[in-house]
Amino acid sequence: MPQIFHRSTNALSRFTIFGSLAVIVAVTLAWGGIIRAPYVTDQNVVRDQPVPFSHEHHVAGLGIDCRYCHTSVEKSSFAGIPPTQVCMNCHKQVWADSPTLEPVRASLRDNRPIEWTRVNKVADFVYFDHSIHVHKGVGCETCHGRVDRMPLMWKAESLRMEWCLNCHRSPENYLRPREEVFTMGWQPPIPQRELGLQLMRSYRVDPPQKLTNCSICHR
Amino acid sequence: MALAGVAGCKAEPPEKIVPYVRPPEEILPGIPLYFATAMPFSGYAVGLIVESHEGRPIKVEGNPDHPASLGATDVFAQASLLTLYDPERAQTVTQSGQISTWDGFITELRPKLDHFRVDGAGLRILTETVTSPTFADLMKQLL
Repeated sequence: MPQIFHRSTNALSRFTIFGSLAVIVAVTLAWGGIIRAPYVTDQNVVRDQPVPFSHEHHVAGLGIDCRYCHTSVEKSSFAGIPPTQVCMNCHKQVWADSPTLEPVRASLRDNRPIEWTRVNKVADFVYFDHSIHVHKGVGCETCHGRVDRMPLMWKAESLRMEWCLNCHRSPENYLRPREEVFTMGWQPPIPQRELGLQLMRSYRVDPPQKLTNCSICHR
Repeated sequence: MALAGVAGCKAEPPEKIVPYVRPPEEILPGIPLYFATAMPFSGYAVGLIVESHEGRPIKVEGNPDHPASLGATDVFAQASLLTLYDPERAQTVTQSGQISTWDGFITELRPKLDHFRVDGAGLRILTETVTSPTFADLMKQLL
C-alpha cells in the first residue's frame, strides 16, 4: 500500500506543532507586556492640568513640605488636595498678577473649585489608606517617585496589584525612618534590608503572611 | 477584540479631583464626622448619631448616651436617612410653582406680617406634628 502522505509533509507537521506552541508563548508574553505597558497603566504619562502646577518648583525649588498642601496624609485615607485658599496664601502676594494663575484667582473669586485631573488612582475595590503607610515608614517617594523632579505630575509606579504585593511581601526592602518619610532622595545609612528589618520590629509592621492576606486590601 | 474582553483593559478615563475653595472647619476628606442629633418619633425625640462624609450623611445609628434608647435604633430611624435623598424632597423655595429664593420669600412675607399678626388669618404653616419646644417657640415668634 502506497504512502498516503508524501515525505515532505513531515516538515509541515513539525512546523504546525512547534509553530502553534511558539504562537501561544508569543501571545502570552505580548499580553503580559501590554497589561504592564504605560498605555494601560498610565505610568509615566503626564496629565494635563487646569494650572501647570510644578511640584519640581514648589518642592525642590522652594522646599515646601508635602504636608503644607497634602494636609490629611497623616490622618486620613486621602492625602488631600489643597483648597484654593491654600494656593492663595502665597499667591495673593507672589505672582499675584501672573496670567498662568488666573484660574486659581478665578476659583477664589467665583467660589468655584479648580478641577484637577487625578494622576494616581487605585480601583474602588481596593482599600487604601495613606495614614497607615506614612506611620509605618513608607516614604512618599517610594510610591510617588521623585516628585521634586516632576515639572508636571505623572504616575511614577504602575499601582498594579503585583506592585503593591512586592512591598507587602517584603516591606524591609522599602521602609525608612518616620522622620524621613517626607524626604526626597533619601538613602539608607546602613544596608536597606538590615534597617528595614529593624524598622519593621520597632514600628510593629505586620509580618508578610498577614500583609498579603486578601482582606488587608479587599475589605 | 471586544469579545475577548480586551476592550475593558485600557485604563479608565481620567478622573477629576475637586478640592474645596475654602475648606469648611473640621472636615478632613476621607474621615467621617459624627453628629449627635434627634428625630421625632411618636411625638418624642429619639437620640441619634449620624455619620457624615464630606457633608453627606450616610448612616444613622442610636446615640449610646441617650437614656431612652441607650444606642438602639428602630427601622424608622434607620430608614430616615432615605428621606434626605428623596427626589421628591423640596430642594428650593417656590412661589406658585416657580423656583424662587429665600430673599424673595422674605420680601413677599414682610409687608404682610403685620396683617397676619392681628389674628393669624391668611398665614398657613404646613408641618408634621410638632412636639419640639424650640420649633413651637420659633412659630410663636413669627406671629
